[in-house]
Amino acid sequence: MHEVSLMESVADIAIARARAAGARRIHQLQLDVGEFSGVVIEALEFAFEVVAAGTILEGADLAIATVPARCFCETCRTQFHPNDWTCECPACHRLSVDIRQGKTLELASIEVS
Amino acid sequence: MCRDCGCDRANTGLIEVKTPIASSVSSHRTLDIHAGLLDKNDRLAQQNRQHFQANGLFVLNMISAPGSGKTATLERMAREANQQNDSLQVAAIVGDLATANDAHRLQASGIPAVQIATGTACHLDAAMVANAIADLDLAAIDLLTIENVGNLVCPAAFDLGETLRVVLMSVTEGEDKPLKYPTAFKWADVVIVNKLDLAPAVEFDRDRALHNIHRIAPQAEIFELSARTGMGVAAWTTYVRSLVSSRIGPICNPA
Repeated sequence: MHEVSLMESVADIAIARARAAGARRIHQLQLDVGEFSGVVIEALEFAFEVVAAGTILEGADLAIATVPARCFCETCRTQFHPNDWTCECPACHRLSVDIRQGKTLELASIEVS
Repeated sequence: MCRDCGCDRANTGLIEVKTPIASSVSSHRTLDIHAGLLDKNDRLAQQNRQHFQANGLFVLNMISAPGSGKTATLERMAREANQQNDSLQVAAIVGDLATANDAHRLQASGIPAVQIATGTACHLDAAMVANAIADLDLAAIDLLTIENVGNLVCPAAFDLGETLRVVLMSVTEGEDKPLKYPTAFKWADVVIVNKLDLAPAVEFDRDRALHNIHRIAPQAEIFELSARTGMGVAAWTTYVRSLVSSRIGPICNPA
């Protein structure tokens, strides 16, 4: 459940930015979560309820967009979306160790008033 | 009046209302943030890394399920280094939810050790490590081993500033451990398969286990050993020793 500490970071960043912009409430948060980030979306949602309680985040809508994993195949010189964590190239079946995308954990934007 | 929160839009002074029809939500505006949730940890980890480098320190981040043998492997490594008349100076930072048992165990083996009791936190982060190293004499150490909290999920996300990420599994945990817990194995530089002495008793399928490790972490060096009997520990110790030397120069004075 490191999702709780991640959500605490979300809350800290969101509240600081909202206050700096003179906002009084946060209505929505947009999170980008990579397929290989290792977090569980349901756990993030659960943690959000906990950290938002009693703050200007309470009741805000949490929108989570999944960022697909992308691997690069050295042999085929092309990027592909892996079927699972093995990152096997669908064309030549070699295992890729060059992961170009999918570890993202980012607070993209907030909607405030 | 805002429909969502009841705020008085006129008093906020934040927005330009362009269409009166949409005024109930037009007081809402979007702020672009694009802040990484691990940015703060990654920054601190980078500071740790620079600090370690400045002190000529090689650092292992050891990740495994509870009871896979992180502490026993370190104890055996230190013993092996001693037997090889190696002057490699080893110290440890140990993370557990509670107790200082592992640190005491290592100290009893002559290894300087600092315990981090994380309370409820399921992983170590870079800030905890930064605090812990303040209690160690870094100038007197060549190899620092950070035993993460026993957990194959959460520690994987947190860079501690380590030189090498080592993931342990033991033969009793099943050959498909890397497939079940890919987050930890995916970013491993080294995978250690421990408790090799128990392999026959649990009918451990070595080929299948090695295949699964390779599928998830093709980049990882694999070492099979038994921290209890010492089988295979020399190869692992020699490997670490060569990395430490190549990084910071020979430790033993050849003269």
